Amino acid sequence: MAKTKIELKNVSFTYQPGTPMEYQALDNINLKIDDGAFTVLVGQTGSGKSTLVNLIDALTQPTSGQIIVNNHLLNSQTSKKEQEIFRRNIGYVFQFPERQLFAQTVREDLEFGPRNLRWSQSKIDDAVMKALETVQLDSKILNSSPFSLSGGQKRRVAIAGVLAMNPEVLVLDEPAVGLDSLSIKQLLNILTDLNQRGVTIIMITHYLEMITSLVTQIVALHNGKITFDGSPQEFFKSQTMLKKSKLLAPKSVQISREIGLSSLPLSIDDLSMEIIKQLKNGGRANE
Amino acid sequence: MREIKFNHVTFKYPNSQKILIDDQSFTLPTNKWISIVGHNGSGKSTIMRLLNGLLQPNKGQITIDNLVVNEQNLEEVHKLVGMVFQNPENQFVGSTVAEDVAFGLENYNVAPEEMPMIIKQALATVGMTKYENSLISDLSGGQKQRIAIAGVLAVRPQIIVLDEATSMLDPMGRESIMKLLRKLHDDGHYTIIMITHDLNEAELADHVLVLEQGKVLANGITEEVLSNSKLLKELQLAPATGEQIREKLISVGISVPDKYLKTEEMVRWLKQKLN
Amino acid sequence: MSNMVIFGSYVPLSSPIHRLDARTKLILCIWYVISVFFANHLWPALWVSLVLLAVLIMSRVPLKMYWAGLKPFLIVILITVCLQVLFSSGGQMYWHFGWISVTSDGIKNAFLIFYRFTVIITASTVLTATTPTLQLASAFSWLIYPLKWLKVPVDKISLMLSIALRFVPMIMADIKVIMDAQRSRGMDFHQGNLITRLKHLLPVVIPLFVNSLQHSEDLAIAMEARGYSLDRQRTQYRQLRWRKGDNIALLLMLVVDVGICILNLI
Repeated sequence: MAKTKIELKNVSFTYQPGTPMEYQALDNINLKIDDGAFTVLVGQTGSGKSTLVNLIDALTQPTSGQIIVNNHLLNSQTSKKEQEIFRRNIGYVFQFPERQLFAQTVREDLEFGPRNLRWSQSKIDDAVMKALETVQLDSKILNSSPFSLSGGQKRRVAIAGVLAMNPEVLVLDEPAVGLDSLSIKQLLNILTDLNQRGVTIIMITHYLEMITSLVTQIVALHNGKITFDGSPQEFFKSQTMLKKSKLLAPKSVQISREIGLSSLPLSIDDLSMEIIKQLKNGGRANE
Repeated sequence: MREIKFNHVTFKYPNSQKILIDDQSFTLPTNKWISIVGHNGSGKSTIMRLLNGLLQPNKGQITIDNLVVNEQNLEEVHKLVGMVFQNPENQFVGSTVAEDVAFGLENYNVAPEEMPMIIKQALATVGMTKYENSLISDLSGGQKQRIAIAGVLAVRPQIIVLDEATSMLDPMGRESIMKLLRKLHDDGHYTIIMITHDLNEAELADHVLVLEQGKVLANGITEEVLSNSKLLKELQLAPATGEQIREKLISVGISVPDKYLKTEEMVRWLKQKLN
Repeated sequence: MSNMVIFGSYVPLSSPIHRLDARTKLILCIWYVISVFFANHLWPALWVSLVLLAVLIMSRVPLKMYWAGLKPFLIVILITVCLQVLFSSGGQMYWHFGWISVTSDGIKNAFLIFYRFTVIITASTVLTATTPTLQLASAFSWLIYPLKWLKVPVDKISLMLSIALRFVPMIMADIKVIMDAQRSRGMDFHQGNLITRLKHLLPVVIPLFVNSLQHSEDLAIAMEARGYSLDRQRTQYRQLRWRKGDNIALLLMLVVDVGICILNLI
């Protein structure tokens, strides 16, 4: 059994409580995420998934209930200082992270997080180099302006800025939006690499092609409640689950279903293998 | 002649050295669905901005049917060639759906009393009738792009250009736009020009033009252009799903049709083969 | 997702105030602001505030939202109030140190300024919360239309205004995301002295500026592609319609002014 990394106990969150605009974003959430897990969060806009990850990163506090990460506890009483400590193990890549770049050089941007944590210069240098390597960027760009880079590179710099803080948990909100298929492949490689090094990954996405064999857990939210918590295979089995979350199954699953195969392949390669197997079997049977 | 014609067109920005479009001549059919494929910086957007008259070529001439695109008839050209852009957030002027769809009509001096009818028609075409008085900021990305398309349809263009209009949408939103384009193509007989780097989308068109570094590398019927796997590999464009499967089957020696199959056709073939 | 309403954004509801013509609301708002300056004593000030409260309630926009709209301005108001208290003279003196003094007139003026600011900002929020921005812009251009004779580009100004108004909620949302992203990277915005805090804002302002620039560039291209041209006449989709309610509203405003006059005399 893997160790539990993140646990939410009876967590609820209400926006502007006690006003006519009161709005319950999360309703009594109980969730466990294992150490080293690759968890995908799905749900429509307004389902509460962004609120959920904001809570995991202690950017807001739960109205009731508690969140435990690495024995640190977050509840409605947690002080600002404790929230900051809570946050240190968690990296959060926001949607369109390249829109938050600000520094004159890439180096300056990557050093921003570690500096806030008051690390020594040598530790910062190491972390920056390692982060850059992880996102597969050349150290030559360290001195160039982040604004001079291409879209895909900008996004990787922004992700490196989060990785430079050596987070144990990495949260990503729709990291694939706006990227071409090549950049998405690159991104998946980066995430695979991180996950294999033991980083727990929590990813919000509508883009289910991002669900690879690495994904261990899918959590679906609807109107602030968890409606599904299980493996990708189980998730894709249920068509109503997909519909409810306004999601399209990965192309491989769609095609597999359409041509009458019983398996649920997560990639085109897996699908092709399955087709080849079937065609060869079928061929032999006919002979 | 019913066609879009680029005749020795060259373009670069006045304050830049880089030639974005380098002496290119080609024709595109009208009343067809056309994909323009290429990487960022290949000149795809520039070509479409030249077509719409947003940019003027340094050399050469662009004609749509018999209309020459130049500074004298910009109003007519803008009207003829409607454009939908990439970022759904950055192309709206009005705060409500109806107000935004009306923007183009206001620009072309359509009488205010005719507007409501035109707006209703445009919204009906894109399937957004019940959102007429909604705030645009409350819509999803896919819905926003449909409103942008309605805004274009309202001024009755012949050509609709979509400049990577789906790249920021989720798969559901993308699918809804593709279905809408299919409908506009089949029922509305518009010329649809769609800029994309996703070959799964590109292969839905009748005609494909491949662009790289300001040069047209291929221009023809979809199946013809997309079967040039060597070219696509060079450009690092991932093949469409159907073609990926076909290649896999070929590599293990399974006999498959010896021509490009769109994903839809490949699925049909597989279905037949497996049952 | 947060339903916070910010100064400048429209709240789509149906209320008598929403239904008023944008021109009426604009005139009333200006008229009201002028009237506020004539209500300088306790009773007329109370009367003017009560009228505003009634309008707030009639607008059906929750009071909490008005409060949220006012909040960002509170610091500026409070600073002005403090300056008033400390640096104005006259009346009875309670305390003084060098050229700083607290006097009865100072306190009175401070109260007056606090009330004026609050009431004026809230009144403008009513206008923007109950009127779609484009309508507001056309009302504004109607109001400044006479300036056309002085060769002022009235239409351009009003379109610019409406776009600027639309940018406000977007920029607010942008600020929140950028700040959250930086808090997530260990930034503490509430730490250090004023200079450090201002320095901490630089990483927020730069991406905000870059994004807004991109946004306006994209929008300009989209507008041109949709046939917008500086030197062409445009028609207007939203025809402003003057109804009976508008006449009544203007009459009621007269009553408010009469009230101020009477209460000023007491």
